[in-house]
Amino acid sequence: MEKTTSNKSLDVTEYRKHLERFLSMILHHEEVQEMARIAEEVFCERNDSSRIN
Amino acid sequence: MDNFQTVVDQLADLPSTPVVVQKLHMLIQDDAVGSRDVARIVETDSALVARVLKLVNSPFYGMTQSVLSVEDAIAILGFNTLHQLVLSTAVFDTLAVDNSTLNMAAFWQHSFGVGVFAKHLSSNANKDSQSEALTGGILHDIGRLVIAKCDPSKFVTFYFKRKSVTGIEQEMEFFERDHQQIGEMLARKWNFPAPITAVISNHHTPSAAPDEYKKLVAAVNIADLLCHMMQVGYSATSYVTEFDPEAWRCLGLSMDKLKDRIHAALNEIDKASQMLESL
Repeated sequence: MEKTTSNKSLDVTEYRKHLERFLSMILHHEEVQEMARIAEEVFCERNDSSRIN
Repeated sequence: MDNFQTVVDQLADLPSTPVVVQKLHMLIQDDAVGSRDVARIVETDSALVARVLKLVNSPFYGMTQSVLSVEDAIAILGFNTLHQLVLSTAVFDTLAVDNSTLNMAAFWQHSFGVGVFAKHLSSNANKDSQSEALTGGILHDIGRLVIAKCDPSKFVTFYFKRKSVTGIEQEMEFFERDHQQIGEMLARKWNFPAPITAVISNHHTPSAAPDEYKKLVAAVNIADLLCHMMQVGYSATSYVTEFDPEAWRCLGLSMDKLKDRIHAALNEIDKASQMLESL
């Protein structure tokens, strides 16, 4: 049940699994797929910048 | 019937509106009211003063110098924002449940996250609308807290012990009301401002919201979806409302802009982590 704020403690593989699960629970919509793509991009960018910092 | 009757019976015994919230609600209706009058009401509750000042001085509000009094906080934030801040604090204080029923820290993280996302999705709107989006997001799921408070055992059975989906249709079957309707009962009992009540009653059914609040409700609906997608906090379920294309269109946002808004919201949530721990 423990989850993190703004998901910084997940790694990319775990996050992709979460996104897959999330998308499997919601009816297919182009907009949601696009949001998921953006969410993954944001996740990776934030992950990269926290590694640099 | 039995399941929901328990919740309804206990809802009648819920603590009534905290006196400070009640007095503030009445005072804020009066156009002639001044900062000093409002401050005097808030100052009758010293724990509330401490929390309000802690929040106002947290990095979330980005003050360049310390705010030392409630009157200064009102001058900077305005009556509406202070009213909503007091309301949110009072709700989470009153409805707090044991961690064995619900992880309150994770629930607060999700609620606050939805508020911040909703505010950023509304960033073309005026400051009052953004403030409503923040508060509406923070309070959107209070119906779940009411259930957890009134009947912890049924709450745990429904949300954590069953393997099936825990959406609003299943809530209707199990409790004979969904968390939107139960939250609305509390919102009416506590005289929440109309826009906030509209969010609580319709955040999973944005098309059913009154026309004047459709955009606000849409912002919270999409913010909720994005927070589940980004795993911001936890609201007792991983279930998300079905996507409503009309709610997305109502926001008038392009996908290009969405990325910047998500970045901005997550940065703001990180900045407020201190505040997340303190409520």
